[in-house]
Amino acid sequence: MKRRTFIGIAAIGTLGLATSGRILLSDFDRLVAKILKEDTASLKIDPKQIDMFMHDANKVRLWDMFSFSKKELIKWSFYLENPFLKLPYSVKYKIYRSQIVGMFLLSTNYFSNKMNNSIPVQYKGIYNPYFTPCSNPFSNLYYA
Amino acid sequence: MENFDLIIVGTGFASSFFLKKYLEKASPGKRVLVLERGILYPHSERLKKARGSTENVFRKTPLPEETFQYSNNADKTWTFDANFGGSSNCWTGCTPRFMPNDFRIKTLYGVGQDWPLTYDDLEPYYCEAEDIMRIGGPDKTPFPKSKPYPLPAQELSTVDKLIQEHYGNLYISQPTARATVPTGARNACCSSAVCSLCPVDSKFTIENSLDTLYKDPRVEIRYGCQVFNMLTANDHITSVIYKQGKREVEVAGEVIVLGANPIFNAHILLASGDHNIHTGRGLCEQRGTFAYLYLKDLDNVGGRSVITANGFMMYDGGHRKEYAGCLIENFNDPFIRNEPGKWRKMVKLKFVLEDLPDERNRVILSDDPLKPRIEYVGHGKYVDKAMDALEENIRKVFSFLPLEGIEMDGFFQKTEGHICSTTRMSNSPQDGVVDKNLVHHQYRNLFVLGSGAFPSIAPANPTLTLSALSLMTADKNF
Repeated sequence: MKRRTFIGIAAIGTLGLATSGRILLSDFDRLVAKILKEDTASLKIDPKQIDMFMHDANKVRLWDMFSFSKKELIKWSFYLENPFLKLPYSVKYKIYRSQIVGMFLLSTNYFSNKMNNSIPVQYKGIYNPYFTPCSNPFSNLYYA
Repeated sequence: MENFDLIIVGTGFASSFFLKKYLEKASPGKRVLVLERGILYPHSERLKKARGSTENVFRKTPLPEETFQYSNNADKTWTFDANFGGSSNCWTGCTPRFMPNDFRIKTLYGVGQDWPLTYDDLEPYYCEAEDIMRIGGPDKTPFPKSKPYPLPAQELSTVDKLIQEHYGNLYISQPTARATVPTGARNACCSSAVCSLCPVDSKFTIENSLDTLYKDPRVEIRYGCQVFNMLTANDHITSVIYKQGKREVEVAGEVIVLGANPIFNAHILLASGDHNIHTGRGLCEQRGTFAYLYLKDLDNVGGRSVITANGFMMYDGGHRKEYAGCLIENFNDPFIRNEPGKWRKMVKLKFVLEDLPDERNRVILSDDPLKPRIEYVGHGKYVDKAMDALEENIRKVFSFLPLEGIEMDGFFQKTEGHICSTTRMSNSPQDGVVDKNLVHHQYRNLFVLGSGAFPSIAPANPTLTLSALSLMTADKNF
């Protein structure tokens, strides 16, 4: 093997290991906060509202809704997602990411304000139909 | 030894509907013993647990997977609730009828097995079961009905209305046991979309609607009693044996009714020496998969409950010669499309495919007398072929909608919660375990109820049909 080839392979390997390590060790909560900030950037949201949601989500262990393998899928997909390569399980990733953003927005006044982008979005409490039944904002109760 | 006119095993849909009809017809002097392996785990206590209460004495009821041994196949689970009321505690409350052709699948399509009875035989009992459960449903349906539904239909969403406009009676407001108006002890469904445990006690359960059966002076119910064996003499069941704690108890009965689920009914039969070659074989259920339709300039809002509608466009027809019929369910939980400005421009559809009972999928005895063992090699090619054709069929069926794209899950849900076909009904013991009245072909004082009796399972949810069967069999035999 030529020295140059060896150095190339070693560099790619090192980069791969470093990336893998970064993803494996990354904190799921931080990732969720990043996702929320990215995906709701077009809405009028004070970042403090997201922080308040994240605080309460941790208190009730909300992200236990995702198993270890689902969390890993979300992490790997988030960091490796790019426009040039379709990753495996991309549909699942899209669904899980939508669930994260959905849980946040359902916990705010956004849907009860009929998705009105001019009204500031405010966190109201973790969405839980066992504490607030009948609050599905897309149902006939809200769109008669 | 204690002796009873009737001994019933289990308190779920199959047992309770049978008991209801039996009590209507039985004389005041009859004595009925009901053996329930679980406990009365009240709805109110379940809600406390769902709300995070740690002061819950009911937490220790066994999970389904703790009640049987499983040989393989981690991608397939079997779910139920082994307590008073059975799976009425955890069902979703979807109650479409089977279609008339579901009963003649072998004759019409050359696959599976015909039922030894027809849709018309069952029709009056469908009406009665719908009345007992207070089903809400539409005026027009793809299956014939001799009586209107007792409660009004649930509201359709904006997208449902478009689909119904296109397909008429093949796309209807889902017939449902999630009450559409307050009825009896039940509140109206308000679309909380967590039906496995309804926060407002809207869906029909044995506890909220048929608990009075178990307070009838003729009936004695014993909890924590798991039946695991029956004694026989001259093709007659003489007694059943159950375990209560560490105690084994034998009770005698003139008539015995197995109304546990299809896994445990089969297990009790096998443990009792039933030599019918079909007993325990054919274990199956439908396979469900999701697809997501992304819409242009059309919000999907305004629908009622967790599933607003059923589509029958891919259900019945010549394709069933080749691949499974499919029932469509339009979901209405508060999902979103994660694209600003398009949050609800999306439809979430579940496609529920019928499987054909396969003798290799079976319940057998294990080394533990209280635990059946399940051997499951997988669903049939009939399902896989339907899955292969699904994306193209979806594109055809929904092409008239303003679609931006379609995405398929591409995998099956681990369970539909519809265990079927381990004690199939037939005209002769060569083809099944029970006759068309659900009486065991060999033991003529033994009824084996429930969806275990289904010779073919159809794409539709089984609960209404198995409840109607229980009403029919009690009506015809007493």
